Amino acid sequence: MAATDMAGTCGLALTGAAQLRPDEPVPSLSSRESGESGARRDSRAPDSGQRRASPTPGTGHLLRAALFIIAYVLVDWLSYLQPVLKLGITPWNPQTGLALAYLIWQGPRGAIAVAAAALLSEVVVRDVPAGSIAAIATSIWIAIAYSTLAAVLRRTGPDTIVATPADAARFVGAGLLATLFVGAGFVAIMLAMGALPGHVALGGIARYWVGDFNGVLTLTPLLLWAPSWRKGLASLRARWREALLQLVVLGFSMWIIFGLLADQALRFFYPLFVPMIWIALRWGVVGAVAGALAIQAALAFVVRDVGAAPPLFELQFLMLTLNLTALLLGATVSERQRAQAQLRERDEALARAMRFATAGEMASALTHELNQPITALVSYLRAAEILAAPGAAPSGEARDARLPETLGKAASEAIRASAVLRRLRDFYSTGQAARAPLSLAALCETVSAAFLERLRRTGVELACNVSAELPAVAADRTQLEIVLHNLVANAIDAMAAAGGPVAKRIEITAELVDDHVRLAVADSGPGVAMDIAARVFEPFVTTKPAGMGLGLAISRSLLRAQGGELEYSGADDAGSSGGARFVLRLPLASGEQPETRGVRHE
Amino acid sequence: MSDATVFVVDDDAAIRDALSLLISLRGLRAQVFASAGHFLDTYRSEWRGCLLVDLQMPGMTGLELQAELKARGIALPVIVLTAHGDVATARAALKNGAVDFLEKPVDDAVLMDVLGNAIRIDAEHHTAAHARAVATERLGRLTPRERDVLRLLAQGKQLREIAQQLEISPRTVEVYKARMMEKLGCRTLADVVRAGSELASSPP
Repeated sequence: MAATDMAGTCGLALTGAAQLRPDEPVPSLSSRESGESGARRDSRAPDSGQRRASPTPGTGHLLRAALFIIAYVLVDWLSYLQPVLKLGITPWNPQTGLALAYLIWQGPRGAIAVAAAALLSEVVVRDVPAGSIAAIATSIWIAIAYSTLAAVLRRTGPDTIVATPADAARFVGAGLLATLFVGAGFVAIMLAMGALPGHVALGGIARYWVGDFNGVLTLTPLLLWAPSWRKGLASLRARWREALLQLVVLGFSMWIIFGLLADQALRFFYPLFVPMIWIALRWGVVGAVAGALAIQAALAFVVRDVGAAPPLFELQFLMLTLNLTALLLGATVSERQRAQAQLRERDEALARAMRFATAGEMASALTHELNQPITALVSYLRAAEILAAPGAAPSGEARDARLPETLGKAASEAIRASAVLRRLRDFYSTGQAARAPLSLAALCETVSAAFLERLRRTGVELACNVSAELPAVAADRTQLEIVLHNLVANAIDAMAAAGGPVAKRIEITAELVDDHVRLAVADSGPGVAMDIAARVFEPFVTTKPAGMGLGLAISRSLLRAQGGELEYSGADDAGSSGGARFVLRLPLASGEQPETRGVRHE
Repeated sequence: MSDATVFVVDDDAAIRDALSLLISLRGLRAQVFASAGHFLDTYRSEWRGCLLVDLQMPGMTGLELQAELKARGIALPVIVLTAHGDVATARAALKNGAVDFLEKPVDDAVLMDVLGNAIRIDAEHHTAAHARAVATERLGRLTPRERDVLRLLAQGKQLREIAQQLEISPRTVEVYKARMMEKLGCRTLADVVRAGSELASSPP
């Protein structure tokens, strides 16, 4: 079989993969996309498209506005606690969070609904305490200010409002400024209307601000995330025991703080951070925000119906630190979880690419391996045809004596062909790494034999210094062969590209180290440049003009899947001749006792 | 033609056996070699026929054997057989002077056709080479004066012009001409012209 470059076959194989699943859009890196895939992408995210710009506000839009107004008033009514002089200045304003989420979702035209909701709240919840002009003015003020904030936040996209710590920090910063601004404006209007005495102005702003800010911090991210609640429910179902335990711990802490130590709740607030951090670490930003909201709601309930707690206003400042911690820590955790998921996805993609690369090599080998016996088979059968023809037999004999022999040979060639197919089937049925005890010496022989011709042509010397007495390792023979084949091919290519009169030499060595065998492939080529060395195992990093840069990435994935490891150690390691050196760590086959067979190979 | 042999070079024992059996049953002689090296070691210059060479062999490949044959001046026509059948190697083989390129598995009708063609090419080569050798040998027997007369006759010059140019008498030219024609076995002036063209193409 021809020595095919692993990376070279990947291109073909991947194209095949794309063709196999036409219903799955292939992510395209180029900006030019076919109209079809562009359309499909749009259809995949219908809600985000509508969210941005729906041409005409239909009945659905009005219905949403109505639902929002009802929810706003209801939430305002529920959280109308400890107001300042019966004005709309309360220490917790979740309706603001709701309004902001609605504005981010609907865009600027949602401002009318927000103003209407705020006005209706004044009427229904508070019975217009400062007069109708003040109520109208504050409602418009709230709508305008929060529409501006929403417009700023919308620029990053509603899905990414707290997706990363940087996004979360931007959200916190913008929210802080906006709520302070709104609070100041609200108090100014009340002062102007004479509904608020001057000496409580600063206190009023502080109350209004902390209430709005807390309302925005937790409720807005949660509501914006809400469309993907199914995902949350699924992960909640998968880890419900943990969630339940966290809820119990949270409830227990709150019962101690607000039940038993209610009069000193301010002093003993801090233990709430422990379950909060726990939740954030385990569930990311959504879980953290939901947890914070639960605490906030419980706090409101305690203040409203138990009554023994300290002023909500003071608790709200503690709540603010808790909310900020939850949000920022949660965003950090979420980002890391996302990065890990991406890494996992990439590994899976590599494994898939590997399977196709292997398939490419197999197809090439199969053509050759099958055509050999078939050629012999066809020739034998044609010969038998001639031998069996009437008059072909020597005179006096019924038939040529060579006929049965020839047919027998034909049959054995057919069996040889089927053996090739059986090997192929075995390969694919156990395609996912069948680990079996494996002699490295034999494997190295196989690999170097495959390179004989190429080595001779390129003038490279391949030394295979692997002792037959090394204990067997547990590995998938085919996959390990592919990895080794790829490393040797890379070494040959590197030295061929370097040229020059230097000795071109590849050495494969193996030694027993503790409970594993360390197999090293070292060459005398130019080595790997410093800037590339750190990234050689990343996909699509290559020094070959026609390379795909997948060989090493795939090789590492394969080895890791088998409990092994593939590393690049520069030239200075183990006194190699100055080129690249790749080290494979392979676990011993079970039953092999390294102590009793402690062979070290130099 | 009767001593033409197909020299089968393939590392696969079964293919060697099957092809040689088939070829011999189709009335040609076959001789098998397990490697290119084995063929080169046993090659004798009087061998006639053609080579049927597998492309992928351990050691020297079919393409490399072609190059080596060329280097050694072995003119046996080469037919390349491959189990891969990719365009690049086919082109390389044909560029190297292979007379044909066959993909495994190959059916006998095509194979025999190609083999027959290759053997004919070899025979023609051989005949032409033989004739050239004979002619060269005969030309070698001419004296310098006879050569001059042959060359000028072939150029279409008259006896008198030749005599003038060589500064000898027309009578002497006649004598040279008769001797030259006898040595070359020429009967007519046309034969002389043909021999003269061979003289022009052969080394002096």
